Amino acid sequence: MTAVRGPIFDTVMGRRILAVAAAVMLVLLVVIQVSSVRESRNLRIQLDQTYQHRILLDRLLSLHQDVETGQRGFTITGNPDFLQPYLRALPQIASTFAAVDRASANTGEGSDLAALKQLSAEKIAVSENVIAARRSGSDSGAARLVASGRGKRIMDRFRDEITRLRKIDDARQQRLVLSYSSSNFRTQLWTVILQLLLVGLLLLAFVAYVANLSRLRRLSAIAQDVSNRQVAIFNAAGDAMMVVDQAGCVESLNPAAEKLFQLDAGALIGKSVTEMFEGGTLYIEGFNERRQKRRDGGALSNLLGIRGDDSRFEAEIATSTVTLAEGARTLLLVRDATERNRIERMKNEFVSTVSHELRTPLTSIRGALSLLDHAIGKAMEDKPRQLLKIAKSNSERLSLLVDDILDIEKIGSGKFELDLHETDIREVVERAEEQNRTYAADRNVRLIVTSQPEPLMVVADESRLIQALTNLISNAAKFSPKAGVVSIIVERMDKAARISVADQGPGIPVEFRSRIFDRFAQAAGHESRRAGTGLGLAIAKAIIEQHKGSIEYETALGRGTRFWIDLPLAGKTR
Amino acid sequence: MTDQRRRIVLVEDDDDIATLATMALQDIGGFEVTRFSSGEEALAGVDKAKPDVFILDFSMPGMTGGDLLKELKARPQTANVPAIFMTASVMPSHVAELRKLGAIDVFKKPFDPMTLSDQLRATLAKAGC
Repeated sequence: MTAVRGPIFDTVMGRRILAVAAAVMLVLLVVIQVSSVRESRNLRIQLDQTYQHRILLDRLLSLHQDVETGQRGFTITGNPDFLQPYLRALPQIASTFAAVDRASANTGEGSDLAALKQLSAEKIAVSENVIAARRSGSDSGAARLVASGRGKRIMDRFRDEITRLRKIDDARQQRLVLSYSSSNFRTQLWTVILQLLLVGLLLLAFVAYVANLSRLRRLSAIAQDVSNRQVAIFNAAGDAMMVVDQAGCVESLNPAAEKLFQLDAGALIGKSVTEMFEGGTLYIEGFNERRQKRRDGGALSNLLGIRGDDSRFEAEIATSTVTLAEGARTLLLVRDATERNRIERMKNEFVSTVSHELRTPLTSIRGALSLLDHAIGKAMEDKPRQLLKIAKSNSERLSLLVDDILDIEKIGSGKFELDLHETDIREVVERAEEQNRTYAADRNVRLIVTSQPEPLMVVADESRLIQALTNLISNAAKFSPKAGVVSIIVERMDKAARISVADQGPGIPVEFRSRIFDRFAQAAGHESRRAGTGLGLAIAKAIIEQHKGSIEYETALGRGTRFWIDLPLAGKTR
Repeated sequence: MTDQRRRIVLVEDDDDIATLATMALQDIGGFEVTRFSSGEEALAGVDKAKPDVFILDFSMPGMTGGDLLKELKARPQTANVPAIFMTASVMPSHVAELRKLGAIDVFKKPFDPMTLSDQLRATLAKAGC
């Protein structure tokens, strides 16, 4: 399938980065705007305060000029009416100073007002003296006071002070205006930068969106392609395929299923698998998994399928679980195995019949050779005796092969029976050892049996168990080196009797291990091919499993192999 | 009665098997063997043979070993003579059926002629014959 890759911002991480960056910029924009508004407001307030301060200073100057005007008019005319500006100004000077104090507190210019207040007090004191002298009728005294010029000097200094304070206000005002402009410029600059970045992000998002759209289209095309192929396979498959929901009902199927069950899709969809098969239970995900062991990877079940006309067919069913968006489903792959099973049975019957037919002449050949050997073997010359020996050993081998084939056929057809009795496994092992002692000795191999001292009771078919053990022991002897030892150990495990057969042979080749218990399994090119049927371990395994036991092995190349059989212990041991 | 004087009636349709069994029992075991190749033939000649034990092939055409044993058990002269079946089928259920017919043992085919006599002696000893 083609891999479809998008731009970096089309990844989950990329999209997150994009979103976070956009959010950060928006937050920054808001922060900058809010901060700018606050700063502007503060600056405006400060400008207002400076302006107010300046107005108040002008007012103070104007009030002191009124004081002077009133004092002069009264001094010249002696008419109290000319005192009106003076009298109106006096109380206002105090309140205006209070206002200037408040304004100065905001502008930070309190220290400068002390000098102004001092001058104001001095000016008022001079004016009061002049007015008092005039009232007392001393025109010349008043004129002298005026002529001294003190009042004028105080007033000049007062005016100068006002001018100085005004200049401070002007400078401050100018600074505030500059600060306001600079702040405004910064805000606008950041706003433009962030807006540009936001536009950039928007562009990236747009590019990612377009790329994603294009990728989605390509993915959709690929998905459609895959889907078309699957549908084609589904429809063209020779085996019936059915998707079963968690209620155990058919959800979808292919034409082969319609043909196999002789029902159209309409009749099959929604039909329960319990109405379609008999003779066992299928594992259906979500339906009966508590009752049925899960079988994955196309494990096979053999049940009878029920056709639409109520006839039956031998169904070989592979089940597997598929996870879909709406939940797990079970896929059933059903094959009509009736004909194949019939042929298989015919083949088995044929093999069985041939083997039976071979057995009788074989019996005669073996018997005749044994009797011939017994009667005249010792009197024969070397070469004829050698030929007789070859004939005997090969007829025995052929006989064993026929016996093994018949056993395997019985196992395969379920006709393999056990004659079970409670028995001491140690005695069975001893008999198996006895029966194989000569075989081992011929190969210069020693069999050593180690059994636990107490009886170890199992329920077993003694002769079949000996057959299984013989297969293991003879294999071990066959693979042992000259003067090798085969250790046979009988021991009690937790809930089982364990019989181990260990050799010092070459070990089992790695490539052969997975097939070791298969029928006719023999390692390719191995020396054992000369002397075995390849059925021994398969038969041994079947015998042990019939006893509800297990057979396992461990092997190391160049160091040997150990097989062990675990058989369940009988209810009690004697 | 010694082994050497024990008389065996062997009923076996396969000539080769019969010859081998006869040779094994006579030449190796030292028994006296009278051979018949069918159930009918055996019924006709059994009185003359005066057997101490029967060895009957179970699967014979016509009268089977089982049919023959029923007939022999029905005759006063042979009713108490121990009988052993020889069969290729030694499934436990089948062996149990053959024992129910009155056989004291069932010998598996193919047999080893070298040990057949020992096997027979062991069976007779076990059955107290």
